Amino acid sequence: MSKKTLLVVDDSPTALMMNTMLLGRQPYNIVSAKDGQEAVDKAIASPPDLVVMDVMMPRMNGIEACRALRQNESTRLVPVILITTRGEEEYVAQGFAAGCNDYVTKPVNATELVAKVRALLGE
Amino acid sequence: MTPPRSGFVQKLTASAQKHAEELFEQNERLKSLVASLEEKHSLISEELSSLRDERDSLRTERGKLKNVLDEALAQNRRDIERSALVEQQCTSLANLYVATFKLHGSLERQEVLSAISEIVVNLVGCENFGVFERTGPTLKLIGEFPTHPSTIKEISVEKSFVADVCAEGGPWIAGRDAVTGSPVPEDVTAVIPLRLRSELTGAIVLFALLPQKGGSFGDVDIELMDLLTAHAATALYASRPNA
Repeated sequence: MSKKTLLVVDDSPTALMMNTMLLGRQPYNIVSAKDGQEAVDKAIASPPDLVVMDVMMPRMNGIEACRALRQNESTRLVPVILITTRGEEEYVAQGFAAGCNDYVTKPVNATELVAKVRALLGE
Repeated sequence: MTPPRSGFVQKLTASAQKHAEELFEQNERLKSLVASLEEKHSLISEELSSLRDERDSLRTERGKLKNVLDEALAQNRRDIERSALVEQQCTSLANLYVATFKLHGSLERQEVLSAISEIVVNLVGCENFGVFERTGPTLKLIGEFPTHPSTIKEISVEKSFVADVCAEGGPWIAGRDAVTGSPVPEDVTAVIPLRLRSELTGAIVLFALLPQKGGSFGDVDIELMDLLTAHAATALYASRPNA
């Protein structure tokens, strides 16, 4: 069985490297992008099995990118997990309104993130 | 000639005798039935006794299996806890590796400050902080999280809360470590001294943590702060020519 592909998106090289390392320990192919626009372009070109994406990013933030993914036929069903600095209800509600499936807060708890990824991939 | 009365008696006697014979036969059948039932009872009693023995044996076996199961469950719990601990240690190591890699990944001042900023925001969980570097007798603010400007711009190396709490050792954490000397501003949650050898070359002052941190630091946060004490100081020092 082929490995599932995760698209990990963050403008912070440190956070991107950290999240890639955390998820790379699992049996997934990791593709990365450094902002929302790049993520949407990569996802449409080759739809991943799941997207893990930061909210605060330049060019196109995570909320806008999530909305764009939902509007495209090839990516509208791809699960999205947003990584948010703010865990308050109002911030989380924006993510769900944009179509995200789940969220985690910073600093990312590896066990929580992996559990959510697995759950959304039906593993 | 026999009188009619005598005939009646004979009839009665014959009938009584027949009845007695029937009763005798019935009695024999009942005796046989009782004997058969007693035999069956005996067999059933034996079977019951055997079943009781088997039940006791099964109960003992069940007890042993329950002990084995309990032990297996306890072992499973220990393995899960150990796995979680290993996972946590891997995450901590990954944190420290990424932090070290990023801190020493550039000699450009802005990139080093970005690395420090990203470590504090993404790995420690604080987006309200200031980075201070020593210039003569003062620690001057050289970097802060852009959305939360620090109210402290300069700190005396000789006489200040940073000088006092960082007199020696590693990071100072509000609520965990004592305050000696100058009072620490209420909004300061931690002070990470930056040292080259034993000399104080700067400090990272953390203010409010992200709400989800619950106002406290975990073990990995303390490890990251220890790492910043040594490695951020070195990285900043190395980037001075490009400041």
